Amino acid sequence: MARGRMGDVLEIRGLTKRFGDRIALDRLSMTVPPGQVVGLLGPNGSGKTTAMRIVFGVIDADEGEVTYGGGRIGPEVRRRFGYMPEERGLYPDMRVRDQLVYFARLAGLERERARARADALLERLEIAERADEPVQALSLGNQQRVQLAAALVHDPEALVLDEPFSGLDPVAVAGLSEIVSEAAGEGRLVLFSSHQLDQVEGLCESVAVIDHGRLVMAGRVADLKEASGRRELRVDLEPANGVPWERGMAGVRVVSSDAEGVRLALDPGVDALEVLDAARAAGRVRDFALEQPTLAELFLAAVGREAR
Amino acid sequence: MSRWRGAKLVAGREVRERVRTRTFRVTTAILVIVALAAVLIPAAVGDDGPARSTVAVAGGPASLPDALVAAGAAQDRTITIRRLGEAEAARQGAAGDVSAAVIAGDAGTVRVVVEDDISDDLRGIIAQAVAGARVTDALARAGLPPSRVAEMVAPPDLDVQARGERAGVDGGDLAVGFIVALVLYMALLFSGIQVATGVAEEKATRVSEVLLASLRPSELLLGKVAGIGVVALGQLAAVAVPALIAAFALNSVDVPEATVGTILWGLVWFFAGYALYGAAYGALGALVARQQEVGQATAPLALLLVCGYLGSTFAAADLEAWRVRPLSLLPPFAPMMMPMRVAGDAVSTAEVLGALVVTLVAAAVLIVLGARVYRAGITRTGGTRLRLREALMAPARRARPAPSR
Repeated sequence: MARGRMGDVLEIRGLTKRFGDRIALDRLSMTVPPGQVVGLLGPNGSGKTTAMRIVFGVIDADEGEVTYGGGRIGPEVRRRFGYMPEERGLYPDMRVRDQLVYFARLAGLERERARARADALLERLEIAERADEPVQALSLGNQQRVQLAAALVHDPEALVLDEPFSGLDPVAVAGLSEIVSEAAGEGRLVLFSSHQLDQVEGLCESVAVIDHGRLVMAGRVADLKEASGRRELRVDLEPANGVPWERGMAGVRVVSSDAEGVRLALDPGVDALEVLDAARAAGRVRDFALEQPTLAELFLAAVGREAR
Repeated sequence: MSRWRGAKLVAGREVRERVRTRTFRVTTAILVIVALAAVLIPAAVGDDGPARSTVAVAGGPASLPDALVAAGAAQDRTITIRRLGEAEAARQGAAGDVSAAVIAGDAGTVRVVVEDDISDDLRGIIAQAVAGARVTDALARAGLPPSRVAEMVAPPDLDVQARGERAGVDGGDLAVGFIVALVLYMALLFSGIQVATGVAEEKATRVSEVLLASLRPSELLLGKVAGIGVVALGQLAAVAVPALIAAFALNSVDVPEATVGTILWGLVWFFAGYALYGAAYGALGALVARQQEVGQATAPLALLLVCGYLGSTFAAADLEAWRVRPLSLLPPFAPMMMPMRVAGDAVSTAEVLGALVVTLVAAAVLIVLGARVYRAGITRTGGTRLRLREALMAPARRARPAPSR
């Protein structure tokens, strides 16, 4: 295997793509270093799939370029990538193991090695007992596992996964996330896209968030949260009187008020403990937490829409 | 990875996956059974059809029965004689128990009793036999030895030397040409549709996007066309070989002279025609947005195939018609028309080879163009069908450098 070049950086520079009059991507730039999970996030129709397909060479950009290790991504390099398209990407009638062996052989593996890799992956993904069934007989979650196995079967140095988690239940998401993290932990470059910002928040180390084809924010998730200066205080209160205690405090804004309690956005400089004291004065506090904003909230704030 | 390795892997998958399906096995089994039945059932039932007749004879010269059998043999008809009394002969003739009852009267009159009608063949045979028997009797009465008489009145073997428009064309040979053309038409149509459907499926499931990471579009197209072609050829052989063996073993068919040559040329033309049509079907299959549109998108190719098939029927009707030759040289029609001309022995080997080269060159060009259309088509998913023109105009390779800024 061509593992020698593992450690290269994927660089996306100024990608622009138009479909007729519609601009799908508008000068998108981002850097994907190896060894960490990078998410390309954004709502439906924001241009994620277009970007992923350009990275993978399925379509051409109108402007801009994608480089890997400083060079263009030619057929030889692309064979060292693993790709998972947005939907399916598998032959529905073909048996699971046959399919994996086929993809591995196309990527250049010899028959015996392809079989060994396929079996090992099926074992690791806990679908070994379904190996002789056609893909379409599997549940959606298991189909996604097979897809991921197909992207991994030739031991690629980079993974490009388009919406790997869409339509999956939380258990399946957790299972696939673990494998994706593991792949990055082994030093691979991992770029994936998702429109469910909250769902993948814990998975990615850094993100690029796009909207209408334009980059809205990018960087390490922790840094983005820190830099936003936003904190949220959640207070679940059993009110002693009906007085709306949360209103009228300086630098405090009500984000939401529901069964879980009240969510308050605190401006920088506001002492969270003082706000909590105000709550305790109004009734019995059942539960509280000081939280950083979620990615979704950061995104909505960045594009000028209010959360919830 | 070499170009051939990729195409070989693709072809191998096509063969394995197709042969593995239940549909394929059931269809092949049914086709084998139908082909065997077509050979075995007529042989088992047997037929005394038109080439056999039973004739009742009453009275007349002693040599009349032999004369009837000999006259029948000259017309490729086996005559069985029933020597009967006049009344019984007339009854069986009228009842249709025999094909005809020949009742010779004392005064040299001959009465023929039949149920409905008498065929021209049989009428001629009877007339010839009666006349011959009279002469034989007369000569025998005049003292000529019977063996000498028989020799004189036996129908001569005529050496026919024709020199007309359709000289030397045998109906059996044309039938072989027609069957080969029909089988080629159906095989090209079915395997073409399979190529287009397979390509459309890969596009719809986005498998093609994964494949294009490892393969060039031309490898993918070539492998797919080759794999499906091998399966089609194998199926054809699986159906034809047992039927042919049964036919030869039972000797139940008259095998026309042109059979072997026409079938061999038919195989060659399947290869050439399939390379041509397979590439075209693959390219058009890549244009559709949904698998259900395949039939509509490939209709122009089906039309060309029908035209080629009709061309072969023109050729069957008149091999020398002015339009047959130019049409049979055109690549889309040659695969179906050339076997017909070969069967009728109406074309020189050089001309067949010339048409073959032209068709193969056209196929090579179509594979290159097809791969181009294929790449443009595969990468345009969702929405509507891509127009052929757009696909051909699409840039073949991405090679646009980033603008310096």
